[in-house]
Amino acid sequence: MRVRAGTGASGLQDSYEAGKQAATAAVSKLGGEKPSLVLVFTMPHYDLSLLLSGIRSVTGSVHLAGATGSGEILRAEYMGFGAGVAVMVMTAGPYRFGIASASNIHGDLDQSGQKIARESKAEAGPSPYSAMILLADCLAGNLQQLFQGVYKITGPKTCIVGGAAGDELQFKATFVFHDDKVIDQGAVAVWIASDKPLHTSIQHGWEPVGVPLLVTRAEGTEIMELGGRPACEAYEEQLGVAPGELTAENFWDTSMHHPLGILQMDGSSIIRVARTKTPDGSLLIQGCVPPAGSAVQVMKSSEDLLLAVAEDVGHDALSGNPEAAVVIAFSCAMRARLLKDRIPEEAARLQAAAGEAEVFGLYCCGEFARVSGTLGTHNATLAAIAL
Amino acid sequence: MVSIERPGDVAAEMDKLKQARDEALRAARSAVWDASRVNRLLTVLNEPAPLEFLLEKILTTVSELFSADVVVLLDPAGSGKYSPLASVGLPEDYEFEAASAGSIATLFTTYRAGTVFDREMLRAHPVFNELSRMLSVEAAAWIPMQGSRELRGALILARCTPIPFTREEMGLLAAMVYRIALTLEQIQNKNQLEHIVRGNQKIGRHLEESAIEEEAVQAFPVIVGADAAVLYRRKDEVSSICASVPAKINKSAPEWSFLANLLSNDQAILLGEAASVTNSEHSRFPASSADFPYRALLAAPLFHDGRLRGLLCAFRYNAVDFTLETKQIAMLYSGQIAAALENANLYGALRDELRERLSIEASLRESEERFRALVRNISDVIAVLNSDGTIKYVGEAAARALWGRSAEELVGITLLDRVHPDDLQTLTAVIADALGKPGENISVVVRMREGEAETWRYFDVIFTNLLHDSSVKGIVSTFHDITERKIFEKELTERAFSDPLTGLSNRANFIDHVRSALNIAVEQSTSVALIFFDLDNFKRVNDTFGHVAGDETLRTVADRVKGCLRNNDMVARLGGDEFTILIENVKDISQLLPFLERLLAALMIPVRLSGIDVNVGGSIGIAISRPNEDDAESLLHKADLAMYRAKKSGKGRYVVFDPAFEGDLPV
Repeated sequence: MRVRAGTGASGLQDSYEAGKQAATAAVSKLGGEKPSLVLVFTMPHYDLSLLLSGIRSVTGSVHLAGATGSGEILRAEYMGFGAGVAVMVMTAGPYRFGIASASNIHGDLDQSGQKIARESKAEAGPSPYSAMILLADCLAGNLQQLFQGVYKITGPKTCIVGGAAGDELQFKATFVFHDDKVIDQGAVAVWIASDKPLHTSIQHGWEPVGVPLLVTRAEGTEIMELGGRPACEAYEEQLGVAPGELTAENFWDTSMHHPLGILQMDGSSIIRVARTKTPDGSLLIQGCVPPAGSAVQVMKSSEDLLLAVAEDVGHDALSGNPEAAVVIAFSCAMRARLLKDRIPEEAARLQAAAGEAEVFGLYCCGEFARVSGTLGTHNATLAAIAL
Repeated sequence: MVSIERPGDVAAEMDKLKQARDEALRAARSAVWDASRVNRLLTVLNEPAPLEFLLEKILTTVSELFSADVVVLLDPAGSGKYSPLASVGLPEDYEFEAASAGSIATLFTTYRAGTVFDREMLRAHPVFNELSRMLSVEAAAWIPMQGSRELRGALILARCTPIPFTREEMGLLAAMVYRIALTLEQIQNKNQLEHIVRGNQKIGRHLEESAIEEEAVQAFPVIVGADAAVLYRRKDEVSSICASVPAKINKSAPEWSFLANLLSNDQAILLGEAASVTNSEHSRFPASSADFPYRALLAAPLFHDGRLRGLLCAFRYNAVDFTLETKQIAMLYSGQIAAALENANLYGALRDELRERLSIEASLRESEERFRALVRNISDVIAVLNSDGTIKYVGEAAARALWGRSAEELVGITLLDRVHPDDLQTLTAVIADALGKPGENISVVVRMREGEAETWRYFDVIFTNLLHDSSVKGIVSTFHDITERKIFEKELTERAFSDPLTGLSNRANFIDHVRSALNIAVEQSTSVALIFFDLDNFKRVNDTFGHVAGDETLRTVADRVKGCLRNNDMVARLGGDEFTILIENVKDISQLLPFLERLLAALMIPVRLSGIDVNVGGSIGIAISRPNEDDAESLLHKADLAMYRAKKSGKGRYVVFDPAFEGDLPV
């Protein structure tokens, strides 16, 4: 029994009508079959409750999960800031779905992760293989803790993929959706029970500059020292920039082109982004700070390298599940910033690699995907799963 | 004339250079990665955190650093329970013990050393076979965890990719696991003491024997890391189990009868020591059955007045013996329980007596005689106070024995005259409290003067305000002497700060001292010197002569080093053959040179083992603190780096830390 999937979008201003229009377009591609799961990725400016009502007026009360973001991918199309709402509907096919959410997760991330994993798993029921789509408020704190809570329940056999909700880079309020509920400071998990193995794809397209450095002091969201020296000074040296040349004002322009990669056992890197520098020369990291003792490298990339991973991720996702009807992708809002005018190519390349399967994606503020061990949060990275 | 190379040659040369550069970068990455692994774990271990939080932090860090999808920490308390104490990547519904078909114990006997399990090997043991089947594990590592004295459990790492754990990784893991074991050991010792203190507070609230028995037996398995416990007491020449965990046991099962034998015949118990046995080493230990599913026992005697009154016993399902430290903890606890039970006993008798007096007003005189007779025979001081604290009545014999004064001398004076000045305020407050709570028992620990000398004994005092009771008209107070127990508690606390093998300070205590020394140094504009050394040939001693000789060597070296120290210097053993010395009030390195020469000379003296003189030697690293710059950990790290440099440059020498060493990786 194959999955059928359909996607649709709307740029209407009226929240209810936009939801209804996008859902109608998506459902029309199911050939009369009923959807079992609805995913909604949207710009934040709608009345989100009304938006969901509009969608559910078409899909009925089936499982719905979603998030606000900083741009969406609908097949080969990139929907930028303010473009509207995108909806994906799919039939169950060989899968069973479970869904659960938690609100006010800040300060209780680990427990919240456990809760949504436990509840969504219980609803989907046991299966030999499984996957999870995880969406969370990007302002809720260190989301690695949420991820670790989830992993305590799933173990290594469940693929986890997803992203942190955004608000078109305003960093004021981001939301996730569970059925008809708009959840503030929350997280939502969709459990996908399967009889066949599922597979997460992830790549970032960044490569190291120079030698790795040890984080010798880190606290809270700051890296204070790299290799025993003030962090910014060491960072500047790696980039061949004169000491003190990077200021709080011009820092982001450089650092978005040169994130840090936490060195992994196999030589690969997990990306972290330094947002700014503090007056005493520390680097302020967005999201999860590499703990003291970590080995980090300053990274670089190019538009071509960043875009090239879209094809690889698309192919890799499908090679693990050639019969998939949909490729759900989570890219980073920072990648969109870096690719500028060429950002539509990302959607186009993903769709080219996905062939018949529909590509549906969100630009996030931090991506989730587990490759090995417990570390599952990423930045400036592209992750996907084919269902 | 300049020769013009062909473009092909240039390209080939460029390729070569690129290759060489890439190779160098790879090597640098690999070196930094190794350093990162060590640093990350040490950072976690050195952060003070509650045990549960620390375990999670350790395991997630190990998981990250070794790309392990599953990490399981088995039995680090050495309790014989094989369910994981902590894990990451084991799904919540994965029942580790059940999935392992009860075969975890055999892992410890089959794989005594660290073992790598590749795809093939995974089938060799049910525990790994099941991990492979249920979680798609394709490679695993088994690392037994050696504590400071014995095997404490094991760490299991598993990958869902077919990348086996390398020799280097296993070496690193073994070293990390040793540090983890020591850290956990220290925290657990501290936790045990805290449990005892808390248990004592709880028990102090009760005056009923049965309630004390119940509390005592409930807390005991937690304190000593056991699965079950019973309190076996001799009352009126009949011995029986009077409380147990679990509450429902078949007390009449014949297996329990060995407790009677233990109470009457066990040499250690009769001498007042705690005893422990496992079924594999003791022929009289009952075979396990449905009524008695246990395979290891710890029995602590309950003494009062030098007479053995019962046993507090803990049991484990597995045949894993209790450690020496645990036995000492158990004795401390049983001492407290014995005292509490005795107090309850006294109160019972006293209360019964008072009740009786109320009911038979007519025979008051006769009853008072009996009351006096009772009080004369007990070893606690019982006094009745007026509301202002003056002594109205006090038991003759006990007052003479414990306070060094006759009843005649004491009656009429205020109790406060006998109390240690530092405890006066507390006692006054407690009496005031008792005045407001007629009939309630209020307890406090105070020091009382012995005779007229400046010697003080500790008493556990319970006040019961019976001013309203026409037959008493006073505050009844019972003083139970707990001086011995206090001394024992102090010893035990000291033991928590020292290394059991050498008697030197342990790591935690040393670091505390370095911290305060650094603060003082800043105030006084001086520095402290931290000297770090280990024995160059210790591994060879262990390999050639065995661990007993290794221990002997460490003790000998500890004694010799103590001989080199000046009064205020402090030496500690951090673990293994690593020693550290703290020297305060240092103004210049030259001031240390005579000491360093002495130390080096002491380390060069051979140690005699099995009739052979063995050169153990040592390499010494020194770090001098810089005001407001170094903390204890960084100073230790610097000294460690300096020692590493000393070793690299030929052993048997000392090297002072230089910032250029920072890139070195301490081994």
